Amino acid sequence: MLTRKNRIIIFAILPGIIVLLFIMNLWYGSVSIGWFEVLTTLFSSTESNTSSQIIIMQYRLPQAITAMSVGIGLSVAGLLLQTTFSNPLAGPSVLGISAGASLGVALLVLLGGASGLQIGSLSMVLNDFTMFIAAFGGALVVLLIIIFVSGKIGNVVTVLIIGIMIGYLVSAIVGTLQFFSSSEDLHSFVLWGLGSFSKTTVTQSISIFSVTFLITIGSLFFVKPLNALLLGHRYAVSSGFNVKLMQSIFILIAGFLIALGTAFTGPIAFVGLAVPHIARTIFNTSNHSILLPAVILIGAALTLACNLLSKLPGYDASLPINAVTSMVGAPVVIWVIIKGRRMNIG
Amino acid sequence: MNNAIVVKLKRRTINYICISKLVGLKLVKSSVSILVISILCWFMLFCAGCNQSVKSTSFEDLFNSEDTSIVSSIVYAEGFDIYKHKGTTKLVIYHPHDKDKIFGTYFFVDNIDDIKYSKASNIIETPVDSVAVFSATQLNAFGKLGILDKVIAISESDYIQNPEVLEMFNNKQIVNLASNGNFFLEKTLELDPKIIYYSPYNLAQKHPLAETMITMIPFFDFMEADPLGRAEWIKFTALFFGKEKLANEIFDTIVTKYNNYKKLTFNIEYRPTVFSDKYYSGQWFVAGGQSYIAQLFRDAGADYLWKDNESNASFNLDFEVVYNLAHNADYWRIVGTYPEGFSYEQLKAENELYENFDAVKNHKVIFCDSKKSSYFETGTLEPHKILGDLIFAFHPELLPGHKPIYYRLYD
Repeated sequence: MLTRKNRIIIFAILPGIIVLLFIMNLWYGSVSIGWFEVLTTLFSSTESNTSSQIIIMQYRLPQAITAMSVGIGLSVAGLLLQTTFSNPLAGPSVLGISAGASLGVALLVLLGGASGLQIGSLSMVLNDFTMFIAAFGGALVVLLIIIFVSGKIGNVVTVLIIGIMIGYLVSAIVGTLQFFSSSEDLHSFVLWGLGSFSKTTVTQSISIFSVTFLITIGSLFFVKPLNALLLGHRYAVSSGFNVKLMQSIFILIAGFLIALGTAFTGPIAFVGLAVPHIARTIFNTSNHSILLPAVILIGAALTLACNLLSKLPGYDASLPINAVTSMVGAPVVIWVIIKGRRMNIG
Repeated sequence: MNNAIVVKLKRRTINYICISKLVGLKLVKSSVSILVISILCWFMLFCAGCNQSVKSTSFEDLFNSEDTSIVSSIVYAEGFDIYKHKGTTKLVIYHPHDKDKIFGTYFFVDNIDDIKYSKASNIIETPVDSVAVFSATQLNAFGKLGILDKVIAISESDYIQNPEVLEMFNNKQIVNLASNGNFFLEKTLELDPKIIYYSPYNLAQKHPLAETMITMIPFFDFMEADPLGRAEWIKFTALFFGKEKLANEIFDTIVTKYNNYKKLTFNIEYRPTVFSDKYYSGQWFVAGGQSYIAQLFRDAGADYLWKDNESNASFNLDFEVVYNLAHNADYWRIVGTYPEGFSYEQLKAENELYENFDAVKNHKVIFCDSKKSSYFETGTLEPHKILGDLIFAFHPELLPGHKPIYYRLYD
């Protein structure tokens, strides 16, 4: 059992790790740039003009900010989903919610193109906004299906299988849409679907970060109902919480965070599922007053580390980010299932 | 009781003897028939073997590789060779990734009934009367050779821009046999074209129609790195339809025009630097130093930033690698399409990072609208026009009054 002191120490170390990983993300890449130049670029007030300054400020910086924000957003969403559904295997990608967001974007990009609605000709802000709305709509539809199914079936692994089936169903619909769409629309959708932190500009990354930050700070106010839900539906009702309302709020927040990340970076696998478990293991608690801030910090650190890992040393190209996050996340899922069987969760 | 058992046992034994006799008889009968069938099979195999050997000795001996007088008529293209000897034509298609390996060999004869030996699928009677063409770039050669009426099917009809083909398609003279990479196999078998020209992008995967009587002809023009080599595939198409003379004339004109343009840049003093293509979703696919476009840059008097790269295909790079090398390059070449036409505002709106390139700041983007110019359909057989456009963009003083068709420098 971790003492209060130990927890405080870990909480003090984590931001330090995040800052270090963040700076390493700015320093390390295919083009070698010295530490000194990274630091002077970051802290100098003059306009950056040299090629390495532009690489740091306009390419690596938004990439790091986006990675961090998406990591936070998906991890918080994962935790909220796991508590709301009382299912340790709930998460954005596993339950097919990311797939739902993809379907929203696919409908927008592929059908939008076919019906003459040219996404490219719309202004950038509207473009980002419509992408987000489409992703949010898609994520919510899948969430509603999951709510309906988990109300009927109590078994967590069965709900998980249903989630995976929804994922397949969505990819089948996307595949059918692709069959009937033009090559240009297809091209833009396929590229979006690959998932990447490097698609955002400085302004976009800062907006994603601000929105994610505000929502996650807001979710800190829900620690009490989250803890009550953890102890069971009846306990939460007897504690005076409107459980239905709380569950709806958590699902909306989770859907919003997943859609925000997915719309700008494409689907990112396993982060949302794995981080809450890593947090539970490190802090050895299921108390949300500790878990929620822990998940925020670990989520940010994990995606920054994954982004760093994807930049292969000695290569001029980087690995797809999903390959890295899956390699980290999938073993966590396997471990949870094995551990869960022992604890009779399944 | 004991007697009864003895009687029963006797009966059973008799039964067994009878059954075994019967089985034995049957066994003898079936052994005989198996023997007869196997003799027949061996005989047929032997005959087939004879046929095979007659066929191979005849045609292969005709084109003895040690006979130095048999020279290929192909000059620029590396993907195929055409040999002519004693009234017979041999077409050799090479493996696109390994030029020493042969992908397929075909022999062309005027009348297949004259051949006494096996009519194998690699013996083709010319002119072929019906063909399915699965690539838009190939349709252009048919138009130029005046043999579009031989085309009975196409693929991906949504992307075809050739007006003659579209008219034939609308009049139902041509049907569509594939869409988004899916082949309509039953429709193809029903239509039964003599040959199908296809572009096998995935060489590991066998084409589903490879086992049928329809001859599948691989068409690797897209793998040629030399612009003239790519255009020379018109000779390949012509071979099947007895249009070689016309193809040679068309190709010779292309070569003359191309070389006339190329000569203009022989003695230029300054070769402006150029980079190519765009950044998509975390990857920048850059054309290799030995690719088609790299060759065009060289001939147009430009200095391609990846000219020392040894690949003839595209390879992916991180944005920062491209930016680091290309941020102060003189020109940027892009092929693509914008519904409202190219503008620097649209390019910058696609990605804010593009603003940092000197070529964007100084308005030196050379853009080809692939849709409006039918670049991918007609460009293959017009490398001279593409070269002219590029020379005009890099060195306008060399071609005063030139009217660009494919590439335009946008001010």
